[in-house]
Amino acid sequence: MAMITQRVEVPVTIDEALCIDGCTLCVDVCPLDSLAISDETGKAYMHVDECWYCGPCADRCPVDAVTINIPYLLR
Amino acid sequence: MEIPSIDDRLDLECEVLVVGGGTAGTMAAITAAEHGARVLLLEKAHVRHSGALAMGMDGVNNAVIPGKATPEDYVAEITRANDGIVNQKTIYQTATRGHAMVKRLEGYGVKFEKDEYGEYAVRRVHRSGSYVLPMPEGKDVKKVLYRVLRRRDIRSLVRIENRFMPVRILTQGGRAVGAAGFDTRSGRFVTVRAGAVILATGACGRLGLPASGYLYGTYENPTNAGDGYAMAYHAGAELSGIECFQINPLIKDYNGPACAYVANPFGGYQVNSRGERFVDSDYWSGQMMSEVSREIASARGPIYLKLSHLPDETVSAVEGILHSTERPTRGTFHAGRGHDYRTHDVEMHISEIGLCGGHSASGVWVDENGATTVPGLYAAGDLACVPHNYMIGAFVFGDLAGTHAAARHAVPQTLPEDQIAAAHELVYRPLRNPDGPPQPQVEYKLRRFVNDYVAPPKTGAKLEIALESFERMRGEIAEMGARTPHELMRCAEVDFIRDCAEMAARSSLTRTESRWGLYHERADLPERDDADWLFHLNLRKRADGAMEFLKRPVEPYLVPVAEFQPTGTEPVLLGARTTAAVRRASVGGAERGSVGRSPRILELQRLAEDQPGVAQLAPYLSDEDPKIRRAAIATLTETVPEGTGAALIAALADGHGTVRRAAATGLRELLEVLPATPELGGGLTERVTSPDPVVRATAVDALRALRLGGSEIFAGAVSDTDRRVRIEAIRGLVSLNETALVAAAADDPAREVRVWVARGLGLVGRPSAALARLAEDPDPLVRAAALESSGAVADPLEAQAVRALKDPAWEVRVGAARCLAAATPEVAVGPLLTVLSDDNLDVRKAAVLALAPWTSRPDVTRALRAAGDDPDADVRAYARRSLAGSAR
Repeated sequence: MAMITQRVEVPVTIDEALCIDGCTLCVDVCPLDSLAISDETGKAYMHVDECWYCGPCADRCPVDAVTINIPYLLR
Repeated sequence: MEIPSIDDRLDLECEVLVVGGGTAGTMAAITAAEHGARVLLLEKAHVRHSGALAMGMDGVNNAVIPGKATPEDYVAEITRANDGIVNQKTIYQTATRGHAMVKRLEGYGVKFEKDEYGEYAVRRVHRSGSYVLPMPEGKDVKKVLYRVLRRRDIRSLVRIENRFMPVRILTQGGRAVGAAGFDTRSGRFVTVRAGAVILATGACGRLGLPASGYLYGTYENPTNAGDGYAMAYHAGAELSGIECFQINPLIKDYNGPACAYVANPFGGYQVNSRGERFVDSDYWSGQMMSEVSREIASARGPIYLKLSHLPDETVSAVEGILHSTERPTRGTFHAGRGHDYRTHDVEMHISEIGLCGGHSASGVWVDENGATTVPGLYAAGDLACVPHNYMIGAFVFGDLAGTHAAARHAVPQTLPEDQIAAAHELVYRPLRNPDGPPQPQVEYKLRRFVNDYVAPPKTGAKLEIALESFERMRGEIAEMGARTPHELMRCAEVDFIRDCAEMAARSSLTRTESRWGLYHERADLPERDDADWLFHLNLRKRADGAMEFLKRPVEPYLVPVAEFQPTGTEPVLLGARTTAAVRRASVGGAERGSVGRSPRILELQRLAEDQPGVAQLAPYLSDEDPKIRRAAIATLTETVPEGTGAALIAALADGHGTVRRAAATGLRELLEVLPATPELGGGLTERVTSPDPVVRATAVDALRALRLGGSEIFAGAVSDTDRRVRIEAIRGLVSLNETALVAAAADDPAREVRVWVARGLGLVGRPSAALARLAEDPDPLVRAAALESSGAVADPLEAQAVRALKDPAWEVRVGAARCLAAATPEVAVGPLLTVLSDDNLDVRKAAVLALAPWTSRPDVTRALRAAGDDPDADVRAYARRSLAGSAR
């Protein structure tokens, strides 16, 4: 089957300047397990477009590095 | 990733296995452990933030609190709301055990709204039944439950595995003996040997596709893909009422509740585009959803939640709840469109369909202990068919199932290897086909078919196309490809969704009548048929794999409900139409990992895992970085070690505002669990003179709630420079019945404070001369509150109220009408009759309610009869109700 890589805007963004190396709180609490730590930067990022815009990731971040945007289709 | 061999599996063992760590699951685990059972709790997310309470809950929908409602009223109400098809024994459990559960949760630290005197502030939201108990600080429910799970006594018996997802319940000789699933992070295969299994996996939220088209923008938490429905079905358990879908009115596009249960007590309501209330149903039901759906489609559509008529401080209070609890990004959504509750009413729409036994009736069939028809298998929470059970019912049935299972477990030595192999195939099949259709596309198509052919209005012809589509999609699902453990999780969920879709279509096709309003509206069979269908429609998997149906009689009622006469005959087997099997495809893939390095905040997080004492947290609480101090306060409120109160009070004096704010929030959150000692009172009293008004307001509030403050403290705070402190001070004085001191604040410069004074004087229950003065206040909200309060203390300001019925402000006219309800009919009736034609719907409603006791007068009867045709649904309902009441 033919497959492509497609650009998708994801709802959750992380301010890498604030994100603490080694902290996984947002990754730990996401109900959909949509956040991960990047092998390249050591910072959190959204690895799949699966979001309930529910809030624990931003709520638990100790340094306010997480921003939840409403998913584009709903905005 | 590679497909792991079956022999490499992780084999776990426990006495009670709980699948799902949400509302019902955590309670089941705690209770089973309290009864001494060794428990394994599997959660596909993380227990701290999972299930329907991931971000808390803004209120209890169905608390039967003695003195406010009776269990019998509640059972009758739910029986009517569910068109007669209930097992009242199950409803009765929630009705009779709900109050003790509220108390138990409160003992754990969950906060429910109470009035100035410490009584539960139960609200009437619908026209019948007073069951709504607000939780203005309910965002922390899960935090509290997680804290209990980690208490030493519970922790020693409950093992928690997060990010584990079972896919099948294993059975032996017809009894549930365990589960098979996998670790969604590592991909490892897992089997569990268990003495009993409790399924608490929530609703099937990812069934219909939301109108936005976004797969995860569902009303329910989208992790709830119907896992438990599929697992119970394949284990041979009966499911019931699957055709009674869950559908809710929600904020359009955002697709979360608005929520009427929150806004209603504040004066908000749902209207059509003409500004009229239109819901005639007296209680939440499928009938109500029908009215909503019809109104949206009519010339009067769309519909809105109206808050824009309310004063700024009331809107702020509503926002304070809606933007912090249950779905806190509501505020972000409105802001993104430039909308504000003060200027924009909220456009509402109807949700996608879902299955939910705890809201409508579509769930796993259980008895009054949460037991399913498979021995050793239980279901609780939204998954179980106990209509309108909601959060409190989920806790009650979690507790019942935990108790029952803890007393009746039998851990097996071996597991059925053939079932394990089938589960292994189900999980890892997509790895053999990495270039197969990706899950998002397959799931989108499947759920679009659900919208097209299963969502109401239903017809036999559409449901047949649905079945054909779902059968065809079996093949496409078998071809679906995945490369990572995360994708395997989503693929397995698509399989659950397909099972649920088929159950929904077949059940809807089998029940050949219309019932439950919109939930089962058969456009081709529009009539309700009690003779043939006052039955539960149950389904189960037959030995040959076919889905078979049976009609189960409604058991004779414990509480009679005149409209329905269940006959209580034998179950009728309706048989099945056969279904086909599944196929396969090849291998490949990659995996992702995580990194680790840590500054001080990470030390703190690790420490939090071990229930640290205040002494261990002390260095962090006094760290030079306010970030660390805030994080330490967060840890403190997560774990609540002894001495938390004193530590929070100390932090209220922190030099950094954000730290003080965190401490204030923590303190308010923990009011139910902090011991009300004299030391705590002393500490709080010191903070009443803090330079920070947030700290002062928190201290005064805490002193009142913990009953640790005296009149002199509150009287002093009444002259504070900040109005928030003064409001808390008034509430403190009200709680001590200090009428004179409350009245002394009647000249406060702030309108909000004077409103609280006027309301407070109504609560203390003693007449006060200050009310007459407040009833002439320059501010209409103060006048309104004063007039209403004078009625509440049975000293109505009759002359002022009669004049105020012509006040230009509608709020004042409402207050005047409520005041006149306590006046003599000679004074009140004439003026009240004139406002039955007021332009404002709330004024007319207040007048109708005020006139209700006087229906023996012909002029009142005549007027109420006319009001029975009012354009506003509330006015007409209350008018008809008063007349019906007097006829009895």
